[in-house]
Amino acid sequence: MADILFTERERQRYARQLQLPEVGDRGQARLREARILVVGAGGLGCPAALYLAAAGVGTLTLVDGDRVELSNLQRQVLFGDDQVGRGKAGSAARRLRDTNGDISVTAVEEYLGADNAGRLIAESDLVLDCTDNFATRYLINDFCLHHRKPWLFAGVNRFEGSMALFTPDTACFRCLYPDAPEAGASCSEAGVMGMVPGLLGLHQAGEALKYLLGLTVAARETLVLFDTLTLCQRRLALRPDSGCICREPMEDPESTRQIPPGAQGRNPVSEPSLDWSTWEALAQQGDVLLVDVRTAAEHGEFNVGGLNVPATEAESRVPPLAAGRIVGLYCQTGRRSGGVARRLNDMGLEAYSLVGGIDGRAAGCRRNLAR
Amino acid sequence: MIRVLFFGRLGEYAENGRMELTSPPAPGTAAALRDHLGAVDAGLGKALAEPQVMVAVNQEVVDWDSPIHDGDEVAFLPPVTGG
Repeated sequence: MADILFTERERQRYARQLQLPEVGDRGQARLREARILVVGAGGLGCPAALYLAAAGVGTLTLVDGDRVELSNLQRQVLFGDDQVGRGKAGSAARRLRDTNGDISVTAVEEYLGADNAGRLIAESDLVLDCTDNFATRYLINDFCLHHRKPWLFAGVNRFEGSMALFTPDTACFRCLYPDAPEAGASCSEAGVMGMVPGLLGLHQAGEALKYLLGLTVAARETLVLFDTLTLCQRRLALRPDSGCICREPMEDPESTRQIPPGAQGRNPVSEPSLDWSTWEALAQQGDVLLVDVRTAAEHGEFNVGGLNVPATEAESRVPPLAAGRIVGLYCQTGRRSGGVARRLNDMGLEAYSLVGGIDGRAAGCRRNLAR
Repeated sequence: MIRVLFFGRLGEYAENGRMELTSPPAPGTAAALRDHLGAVDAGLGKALAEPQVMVAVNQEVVDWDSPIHDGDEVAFLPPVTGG
């Protein structure tokens, strides 16, 4: 149970919310014990983190590798002219410590990636997606599914925004958006009114506080849409997609850390899953069909060779393409390709999945460089 | 009658972001409605064909092969990705 002893200073600071029956001493103690990871210290992250800090969330971690630019100041309200050129996470953290010196604020001046997401998310009770791109949202989604952590999605465009709380037991982000956008409109491309991420960031903070306090979270399994031109707000129910990978047994998105040693002295294809070196040996073997099971957009952005057959089409398209050959499958993290490999093996093909996917290969390269 | 709502930039294709149809286009799925709208307005058709556009029927996000019945409210939503 949470320690509910407060200093006089804390009692004064939180007086207006301590008097709410929905908060009270017990609720305030829950907030003090809570750890929230805010991914992105931009238009959404600035207001969200500011109100979480002011409300007394005990441990806030801000992760963002960006530096403040002049064009950010219109909506990223923790920064001023003096911070232009400085790291966003560090600048925001200093501002939050100024707001509330009784909490712990940590700045991680890196982008969230496959190499740091597992640790950062595992150490948190709740994750706020304050990013501006789909790739990071898929990363948050997959790591949160694996670590069974809830996360609050928010996105903005022009005059509108939307948000949803995803938990391990409800629909996931991939149920909503199975495929990455070809070119998702970002604020820099489509433009945005500064108060729109302000509004959405505040609602993220509000939903996060309600979640921590055990109150009903209105955005749970619900896509909430805000239109600031009409001031209309709409709620759309989300249901898990039975075909989504979140309904399949989870593969560790960080499985690169558990790569079995390369199949030394053995047939390079003796494992149903392959590490990178074994994969390369297989690729050089020649008579093998290599397939990227990610979407066309992901394949177009970056790939490590082979044909592109999205996971959803693999069962119908890969068998005729393979024509009896061994099949090597890869995706971003090894999760989708692992599922496809199992299904193709069930169909009688000899299919293998690259453990850890492209992200795992990148992590392996970094490890090698570090040695 | 079918009530059709367009969110975000899709609202540019209909007055006040909404329109009404007398009945669901055959064979009565969300995809059929999307295709019907695209046949009437090529610009809207192109916008609706983008892969991340979602459809909701009666305030629930559904698949494109979900049925649409007389009296339903159908909403089309573009992706909202910025932050």
